[in-house]
Amino acid sequence: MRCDEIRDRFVELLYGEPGTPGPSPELQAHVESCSACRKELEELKKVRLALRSWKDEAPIRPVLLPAPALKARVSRIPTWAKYAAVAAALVLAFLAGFQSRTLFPGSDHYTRAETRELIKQVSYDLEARMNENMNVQLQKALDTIENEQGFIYASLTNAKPNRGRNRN
Amino acid sequence: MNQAEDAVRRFLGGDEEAFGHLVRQWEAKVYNLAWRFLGNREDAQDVVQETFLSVFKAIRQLRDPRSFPTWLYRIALNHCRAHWRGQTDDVSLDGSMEGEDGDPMEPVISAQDARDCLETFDLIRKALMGISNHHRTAIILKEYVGLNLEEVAAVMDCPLSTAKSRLYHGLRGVQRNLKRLGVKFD
Repeated sequence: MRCDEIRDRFVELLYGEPGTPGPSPELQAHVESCSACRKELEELKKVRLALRSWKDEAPIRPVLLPAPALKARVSRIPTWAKYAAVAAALVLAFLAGFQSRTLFPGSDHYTRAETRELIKQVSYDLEARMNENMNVQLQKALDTIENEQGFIYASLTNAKPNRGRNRN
Repeated sequence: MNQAEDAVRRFLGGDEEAFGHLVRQWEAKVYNLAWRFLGNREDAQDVVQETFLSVFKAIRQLRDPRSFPTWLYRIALNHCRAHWRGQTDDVSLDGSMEGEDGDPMEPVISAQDARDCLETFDLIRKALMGISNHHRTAIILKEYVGLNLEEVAAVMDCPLSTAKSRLYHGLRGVQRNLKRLGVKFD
């Protein structure tokens, strides 16, 4: 066996992997009898040791999750909180309608009938807009939560977020 | 079923939160692979982000969740190579030639590189940057990611004998570069 024929197979001697065929007897016999190959093999073992001095480290920042995966995480807002947000929006809309006095102008206070009519009009109006606006409002709430937690919406295009470079 | 396979199956089954678990399990491995390939932390972090974005877009095409690690490393290495092509080498390329795949062949390590090394691992980084992408990939997958030789061949999409050859020549290249950087092997 010539040295140049077997050096590609040094890997079999360097990495004795369980379950795979080990180095052949001819290969081992050659290395034992050839000082040049033995020396090279020893140096390659030292190279492997040197390689291990480069230790793993933690990523410098966490991966920004794509928006659907992020929404799945923040959608864990309790159901009661979502209903409370909708109820609060209803109350605010009602109060805004109550204060506007555009429905029954010319009076300092509302009669009971006027109040009932006002509430009905506000609730109809609100119901009509609720479906349209609810997703928008909840989306705004989600976006606010995202900003508070420092998440940035990662576009599913290849656009890169703007940030400074600090090459090491 | 291992954790990765479980997370992939859950994500494919509609559990979008499972993707976050996958990212947490694998981001460090991908980062360290990219860091060793590119030698640069910021570029490595970019590769991590791009890799998981690609994974998110394409994971539904993954036929066998058990092959997720191999598939993930391939995507990461594709992004590494794309960054490498755009990166300015910090190792002198005087006298180098390009191989068939556009890899610079055996860039020259200079004595200045040795003086520039601040830490021990920096010597290794310089020595690794000075070998071809194929050889460096084989070393990273075997020595740092911890794959067996068959897995290295699968990720690199080459025969086992080719993977062994690349690993051997990679180690020899690192050995030669370390000697140029003044490291003695006595």
